[in-house]
Amino acid sequence: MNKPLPTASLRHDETNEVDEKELVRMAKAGDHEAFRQLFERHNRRAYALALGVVRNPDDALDVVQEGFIKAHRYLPKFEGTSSFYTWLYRIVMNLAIDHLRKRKRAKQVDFNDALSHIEGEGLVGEDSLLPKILGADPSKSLMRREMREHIRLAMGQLSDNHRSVLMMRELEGLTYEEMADVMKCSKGTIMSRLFHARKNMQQHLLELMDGPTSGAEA
Amino acid sequence: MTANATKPTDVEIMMFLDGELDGDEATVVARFLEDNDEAASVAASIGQLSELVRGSVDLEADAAEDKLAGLWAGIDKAISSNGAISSGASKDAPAETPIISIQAKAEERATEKLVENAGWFGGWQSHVMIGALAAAAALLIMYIQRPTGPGQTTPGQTVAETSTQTPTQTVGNGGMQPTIVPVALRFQEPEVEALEVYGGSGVIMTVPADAESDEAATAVIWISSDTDVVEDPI
Repeated sequence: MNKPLPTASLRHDETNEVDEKELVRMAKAGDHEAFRQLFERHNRRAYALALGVVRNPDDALDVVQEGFIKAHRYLPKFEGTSSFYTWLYRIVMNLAIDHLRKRKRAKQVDFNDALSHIEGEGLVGEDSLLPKILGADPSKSLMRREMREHIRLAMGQLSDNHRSVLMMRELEGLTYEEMADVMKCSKGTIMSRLFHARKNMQQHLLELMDGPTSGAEA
Repeated sequence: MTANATKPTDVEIMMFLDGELDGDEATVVARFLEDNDEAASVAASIGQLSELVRGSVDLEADAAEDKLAGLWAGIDKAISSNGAISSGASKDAPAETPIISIQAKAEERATEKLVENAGWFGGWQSHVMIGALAAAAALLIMYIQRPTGPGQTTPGQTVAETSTQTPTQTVGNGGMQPTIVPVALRFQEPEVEALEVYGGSGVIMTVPADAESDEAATAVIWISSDTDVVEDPI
């Protein structure tokens, strides 16, 4: 398998992992301070994930708070086969998805999830991703408040399922298999959702930037 | 990979970039990307989008640092009130909704309601107190006028028996001494029924009609809301 795209910059080094195991052990033994340190380490990352999915800062804070409370409650069941954060993000992700389900006003259907008709098509067409849209360094683009707002709005226009897979992939670098496990669907569905999430995101961004012609800004 | 192995689809390019292809499939896409500018552009757009999304969420998370720091107080409170870590926790349980914040929100709502009702009471305090005093007076009168057993008298009864002006009724009982039954004893007690209403409770007090005084039956309905707050009305 080839090397995946670089993902979030929040990977832990080995030292941290060793420390973390100790913190988890202490927290399991009832040490609140140890659990507080785990919270300090991971709250921001958990928040970014929750915010990416629920899109509302207050709701994201609620999700993170509930996530840590739940993590503390079920800490004795955490066996340490994965990192604490891997375990935590699943709790947070499930809570975020639950939150979306509860909030959902009307059932959303991702009509464009089916990919069967894509087979055999080339690079151009309805089911193609768009070529590079900004023509510039994305980090520079993000310096512009307007661009950040466009991205925020474009993400808000994605369906809950599309946004969830996009966040899991881009923020956490999950494999399709892992995402399928979290979202309780097939790997094919994840692939389809991710493809359309990216395509829709590109289209929303282009629309917000006043059409495809303005996409080549510097 | 599709039948046309030399021209991968966008989905395949995406899967390649996400590390989901391996072996020959990955090799084919990698070669195609090297030779085809359009495909390379699509691949670049995926990378660019990833960077934008990550960067954007990262910046949003930065803006919430203060709020995140304040989150610990709530978590600490919740886990402290939960007591020691439960060793009997089920692995399936993460699907359930944590109760703590919901309880906290319910308490918050209850407090708000209480304050709201207290405000209402402040506005209607005099009416409530007058009503309460009137009810107390009515109950006192009823107590005084209550029927008693033979040989026992109430203050009202004593007046009836001793006053010549008080109308009495003679009950025939053969040659025996007629019994004088004071009118006061004929007074029928009001019927008092409990009343359950939504969001409160009440009492229906029915005073039967009195033929002697031509008074019609009277009913008093007293309803109190469960949320009524009476802070030491005395």
